[in-house]
Amino acid sequence: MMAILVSEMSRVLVQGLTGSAGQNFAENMRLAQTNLVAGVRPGRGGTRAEGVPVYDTVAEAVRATGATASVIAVPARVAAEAALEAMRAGIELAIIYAEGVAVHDALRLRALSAGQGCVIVGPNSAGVMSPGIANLSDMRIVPMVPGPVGLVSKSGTLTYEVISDLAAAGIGISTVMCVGGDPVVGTTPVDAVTMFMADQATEVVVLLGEPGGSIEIEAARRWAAAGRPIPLVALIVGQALPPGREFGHAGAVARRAGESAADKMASLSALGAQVVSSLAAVPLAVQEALRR
Amino acid sequence: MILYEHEAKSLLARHGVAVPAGGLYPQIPGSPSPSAPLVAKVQIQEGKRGKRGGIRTVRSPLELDKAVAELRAGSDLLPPAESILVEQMVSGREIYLALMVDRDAGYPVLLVSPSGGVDVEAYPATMTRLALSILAEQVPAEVTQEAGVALGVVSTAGLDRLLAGLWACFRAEECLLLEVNPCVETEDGALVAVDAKITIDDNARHHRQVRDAGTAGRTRFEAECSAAGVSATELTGDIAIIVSGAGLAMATLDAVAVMGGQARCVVDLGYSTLHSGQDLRRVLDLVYELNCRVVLVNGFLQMASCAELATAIVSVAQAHPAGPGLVARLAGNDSAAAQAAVLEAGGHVAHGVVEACQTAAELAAAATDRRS
Repeated sequence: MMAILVSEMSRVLVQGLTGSAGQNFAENMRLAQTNLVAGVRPGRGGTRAEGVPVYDTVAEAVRATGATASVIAVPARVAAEAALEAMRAGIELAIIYAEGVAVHDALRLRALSAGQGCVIVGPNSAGVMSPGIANLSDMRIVPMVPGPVGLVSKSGTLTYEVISDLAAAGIGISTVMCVGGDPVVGTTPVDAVTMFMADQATEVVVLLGEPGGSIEIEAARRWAAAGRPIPLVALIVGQALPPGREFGHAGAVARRAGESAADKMASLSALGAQVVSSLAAVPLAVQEALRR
Repeated sequence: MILYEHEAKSLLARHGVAVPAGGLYPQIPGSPSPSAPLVAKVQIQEGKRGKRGGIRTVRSPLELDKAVAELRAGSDLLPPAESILVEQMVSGREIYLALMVDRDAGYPVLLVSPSGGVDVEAYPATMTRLALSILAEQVPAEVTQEAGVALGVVSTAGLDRLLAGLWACFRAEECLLLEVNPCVETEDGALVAVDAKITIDDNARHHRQVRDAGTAGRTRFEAECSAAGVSATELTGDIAIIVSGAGLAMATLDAVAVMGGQARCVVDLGYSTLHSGQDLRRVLDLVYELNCRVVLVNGFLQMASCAELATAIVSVAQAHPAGPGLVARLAGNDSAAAQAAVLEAGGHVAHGVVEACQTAAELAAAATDRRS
């Protein structure tokens, strides 16, 4: 089986394993038979939690267990520093769960991680999950059915809906990647779509977007430039959002011409994506895309 | 947090940027006269302030007092406001400079235009965009040089000083946006920040001495939700939407609109609120105190418990017996117990987003019919 970002070989550690979010992630991994190998919590080195050894630093955990991926379940104010620690220790995939990381910290993280061989997902990411392979996400109560759909979204909660609706229509998932809802994130939908196009397991990409910015358009442009190798189904939520209003910490605000949901839907359509206007319409569009 | 103009200018001055001499009325920079007029500017955050009569040039103490009284009272076009900034007039060529975070690109950019006084939203063809690295202590010489060419400014040393001050302020204060519009180039080549708008990252509050979080630009409801750790948007319809997650918030708002409903507010409960009974209860109270006809709860919870959320909602609903109708779509963790609790309290249980939004819209419409 294939997937993006994770494999059956992924060896996972949780930074902040002893906290409540960390424990929840560990439980999700256990339920999905994901290979949790270690936890990190400064000051608790030498103890055990959730059935695995705890280390003071990521570097120690990597040396001792060969961990390759980290779920960072620490508070927002220390999350960027935790991700840098993971990167320096040779972690290949670091997922930041915390919401509301200081934007300048996220900017520094982007600048310092460029070209360092560590994929940073988030902040404010619900995680990455490949059914049957690994679950590095906060998802527990969604149907985890392997299948042909690569799903990319800022929002975790939207992906729960789409995964469930797709499963009800008999369609499974290759990988779900929640890029994170904070204003500045490490890995963007452009990167995700690029990875999905190169993934053997992914036959159709579903892109969930929001008003504001142009990253979904960039992703579709990249896809179109690559010759549209697999179908791209896109939904932009926030069509009823009053102009100029910001929602949550998602940073979904149309500041400039072309950034409203309607404008972005038109741009995606023009690039050749199959654009749907509601969550409920996603499964049918995916079914049609798979038939082509 | 969006700063008022006078706050933004104090901050800029602290970082070495030239601003007009002035202060909040009655602290005025000398007495106005025909040869040395002063400018009185109402301190509000809404746009197009000048076009709405919020900026007055005064040439005598009498004119100043009259202008201040009028600005404080407000007009058809302007809300009343207490704070009036009074400054010496600075005239010359108007240019535009801004530093902002490009969210998609993941780095800060410097935007410059030789035509000041324009809307950044309009993005005129004259706007030049220069990328910066957040790691750079100083603005690189080539960026200053390119900005100078684009702006056509006379004094390279002056521009160097201005950009150094703006960049220091942007980094030290963790700005999301720092806009100087207009920046005035005077006849003797000085560059003065005549108007300034600064947005500081709320998520960076822990990096500095606690500062007033600022409620400007937000309604009381939004500010109180924010104090309880929840992001909320107040609107003008009659359906209060409570969801978990900003993406689902927007999808729910869309579905309600499609069904012909109108949202009174959208409240996005985050992870920490769902795990904190006290904040949750406070936010639900605030929602129930809004004047609305239906409360629509749409949650698909993975780690938090639907049953705990339902219990909190039912208890607040019961404290408001004549309050709005309740429609709940609660899926995921502990959903069966949650649905039972809602039903027992006389609420409607829906089994999907579409059904929930449709039921809410129908209930709101029925309530409207009954009242009219």
